[in-house]
Amino acid sequence: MNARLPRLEIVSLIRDRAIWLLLALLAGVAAVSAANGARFAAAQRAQQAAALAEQRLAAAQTRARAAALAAQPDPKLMWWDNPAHTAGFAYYKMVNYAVKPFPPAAALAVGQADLLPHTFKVNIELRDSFLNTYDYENPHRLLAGRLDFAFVAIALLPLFILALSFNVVAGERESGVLALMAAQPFPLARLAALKLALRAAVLGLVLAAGTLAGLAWGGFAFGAPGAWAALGAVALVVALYAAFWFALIFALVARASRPAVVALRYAAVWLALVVLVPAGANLLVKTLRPLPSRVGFIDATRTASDAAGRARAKLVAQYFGDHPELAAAHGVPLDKLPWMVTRIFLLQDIETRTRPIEQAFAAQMTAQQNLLDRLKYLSPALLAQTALNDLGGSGLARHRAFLAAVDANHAALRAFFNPRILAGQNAFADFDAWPRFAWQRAAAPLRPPAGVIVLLALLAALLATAGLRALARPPL
Amino acid sequence: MTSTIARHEFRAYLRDGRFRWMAALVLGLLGLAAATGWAHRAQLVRERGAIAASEQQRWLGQGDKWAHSAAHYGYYAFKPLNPLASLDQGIEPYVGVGVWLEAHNQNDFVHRPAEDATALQRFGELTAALVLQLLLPLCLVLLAFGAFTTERESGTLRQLLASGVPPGALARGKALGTVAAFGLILGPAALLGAAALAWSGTGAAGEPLARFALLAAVYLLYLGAFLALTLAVSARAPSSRFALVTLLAFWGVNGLLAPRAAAEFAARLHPAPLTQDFKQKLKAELGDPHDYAELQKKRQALLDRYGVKEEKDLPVNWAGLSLQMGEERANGIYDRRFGALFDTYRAQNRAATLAGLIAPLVAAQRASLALAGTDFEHHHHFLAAAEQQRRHIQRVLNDDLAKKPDINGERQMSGRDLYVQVAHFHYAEPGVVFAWRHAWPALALLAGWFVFSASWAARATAKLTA
Repeated sequence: MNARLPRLEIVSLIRDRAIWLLLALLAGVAAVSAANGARFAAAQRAQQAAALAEQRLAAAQTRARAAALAAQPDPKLMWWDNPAHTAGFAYYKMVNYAVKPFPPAAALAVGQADLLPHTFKVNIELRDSFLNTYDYENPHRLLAGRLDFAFVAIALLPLFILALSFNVVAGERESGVLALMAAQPFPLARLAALKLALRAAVLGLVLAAGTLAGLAWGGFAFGAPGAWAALGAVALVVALYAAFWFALIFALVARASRPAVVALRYAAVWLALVVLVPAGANLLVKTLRPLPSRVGFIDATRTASDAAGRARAKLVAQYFGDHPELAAAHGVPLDKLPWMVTRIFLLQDIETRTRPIEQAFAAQMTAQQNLLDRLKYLSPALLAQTALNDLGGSGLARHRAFLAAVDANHAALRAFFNPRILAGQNAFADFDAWPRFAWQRAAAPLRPPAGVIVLLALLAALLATAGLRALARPPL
Repeated sequence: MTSTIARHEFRAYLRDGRFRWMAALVLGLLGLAAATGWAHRAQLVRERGAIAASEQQRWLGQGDKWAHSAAHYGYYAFKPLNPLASLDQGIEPYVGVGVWLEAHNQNDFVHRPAEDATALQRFGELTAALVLQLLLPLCLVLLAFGAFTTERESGTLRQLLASGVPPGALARGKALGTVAAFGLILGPAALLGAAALAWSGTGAAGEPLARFALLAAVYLLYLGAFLALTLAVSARAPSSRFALVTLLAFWGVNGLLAPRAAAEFAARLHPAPLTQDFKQKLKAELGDPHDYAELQKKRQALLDRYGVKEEKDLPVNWAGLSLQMGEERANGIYDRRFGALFDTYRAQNRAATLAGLIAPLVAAQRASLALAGTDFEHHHHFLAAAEQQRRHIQRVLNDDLAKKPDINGERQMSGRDLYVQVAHFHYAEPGVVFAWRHAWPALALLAGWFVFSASWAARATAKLTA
């Protein structure tokens, strides 16, 4: 008898055409979303490869031009056109890209990756001159958001779980056969658990098959380093998230008198956890930890530029007063120093003046993230989405680490070029020596946070226990 | 008969605890979303107004300098926001807050608010549009899915039909009762919105009140279509369970899947170039505006034109002329390359709007964005105006420069007299006709949905059996 029940359940599942339809829809949506994500990640990597190719080409051309000029100098050549001139190279001819690599899981969780800049052309000018860059994209597409696997898993999968499972037990109760089933030697709780476990297994298999097929369709590199580890980590988060929703429906069917009631209550919980709590949390974050105004930032930068422009002569005089040997190297009075020299003082002064605002931005963004790190515990959808974003490499912590590495490169470039420009060392040939962008910790995390895993598992276990207890003495 | 049933249905809703809870939730969220949206927009308008004035002062007070240096000093232009952006902020967080107008470069908009936001924003911002587009239809489904199935399952439908109540009257009564109940939520909200707009000035730029009236029509059609669909499914469904699951599935496909799938489908159909490739090609075609060899060629051309050998013999400043020639050459390149990019976006948007044939939300969203002034077309309208202003600035400054040859090798400076010749940038927001031109295809789709749903509901309920 015990062995026949699972078989009967499988047969009844196979015979249900609606379930086939649902599973086909899930497989299709999973495949399309995974293929979309894989294509997105591949396109972003292609952009970065094009940027780095441009850098290599520019390096080769610069060397060739410098060699040609060494062989045959051109006295009419202006400094900004001359790659063998320190300032000409530093201000105009240097091509130096900083890229944030896309990890394998980016194909499954696009997250913020379509919004956050991933490639900067770092120079010695103001940070703003290269940080304000982004991919051109139809803003309507940005508004809609990407149809990626993470969206399917977080928003849609719970609804598939509802459609597959809402009449388990509750359907039998409504049709009046539950009393008959309860009289069987197979415990009702185990029967319900078995029914849901079967559905979970089928759903998981279909989701995995659809996703893997979609990834292959989208050109995902299964052989890339860490690809399978990334897939495993994403699968773990999604499996636990799905377990939460299966456990929720288990708890609901154990108590509800009719499937329609189960569906209503489940839909209400879904609405709260997937739509309302995230939207409310977003509002709360923006209201309690508002960022300073970006318009105000532009205003302050313009004011600082004007003030720095007025203070430039004084700063120049002060610096070269302290370093008279450098002033002599330029061979002109201080008020005739070239733009390439005085600009260094201008940029540094603007940055000194705008630094408090930038620090206020950074502090408030940290405060927002800290609040979000607490608020995410309000909804399993938030927990799962943030974990997937981190795995996909578009989490805020990784982005800020990238920006810090970009800042370090910016500072290193200035430390390399500015003293030479100030000292009037105009001849430049150190094409191998200038500091390229390097980011030691570029890899995205390969494992989801243990706390998220434990919490999702705990929530699922609690709800499942509630269902089991309710079904131990079921209302028939 | 119809009015009796409608009154009964209306009273039943009012007595239903679920309705009262949902009404409170929807009204609360709608009020909260509208209030925060209004405050946010008011703050943005204040900030942008203040900095626009500062920029104008800075421009005029930048001091004496070479005209081309003034051209590089430039100024920022900031986009005004229609009051309806507080209801549907649309693409605003995904485009920058302003653009710097300077020589040579058609710069990108800078500081996109979405880049500063946390990952939460991708779940959806709590706006009035979200409540109306997603939440309210779900409430309609959850409250009305059993309109006929519950009556059938409890046996009251048989009694009603046996007592001679025409099925059509029953359906109309139920529809009217539901409309009246939901009208209790939406009516005051709409009146409050209209009053707020009227209070903030009916003569405001962009004709917000006329836009609001059309926006109300969009949501009436959308919600009306949803109600009719719900009643039709309820009339035809064999059980409440079936009706609920069918309607929830439709709601999910319509509200969650369709907008993203439509955008992806449209992008696959009309692929936009990769940014890196676009920028590299643009840069290569533009060349370096200060390119030495290029400048020499232009200079020689000018000397030949005036039949002189030395630059000092020119009656004009060749720098001014060559800079303007460079601007005009670059303008053509910008127009062609960005024009092609924007045409691709337009083709994508048209294709995505067609998804409104299978998902009314897509049509409602597109119409709502156009009427709220927060769609791509409105953004492009501002973009084009700002770019025209940039070109105007360059023309005025370069013309002045051309009239001032260097004296003894020294550049002649310009000052406030010249800066005031640059017309103050005053952006005229497009009115309701512009919005209508871009909203009507989506609005027509919505009207089609309404007619289809209403006629299906009429047919389904006419054949109502116990």
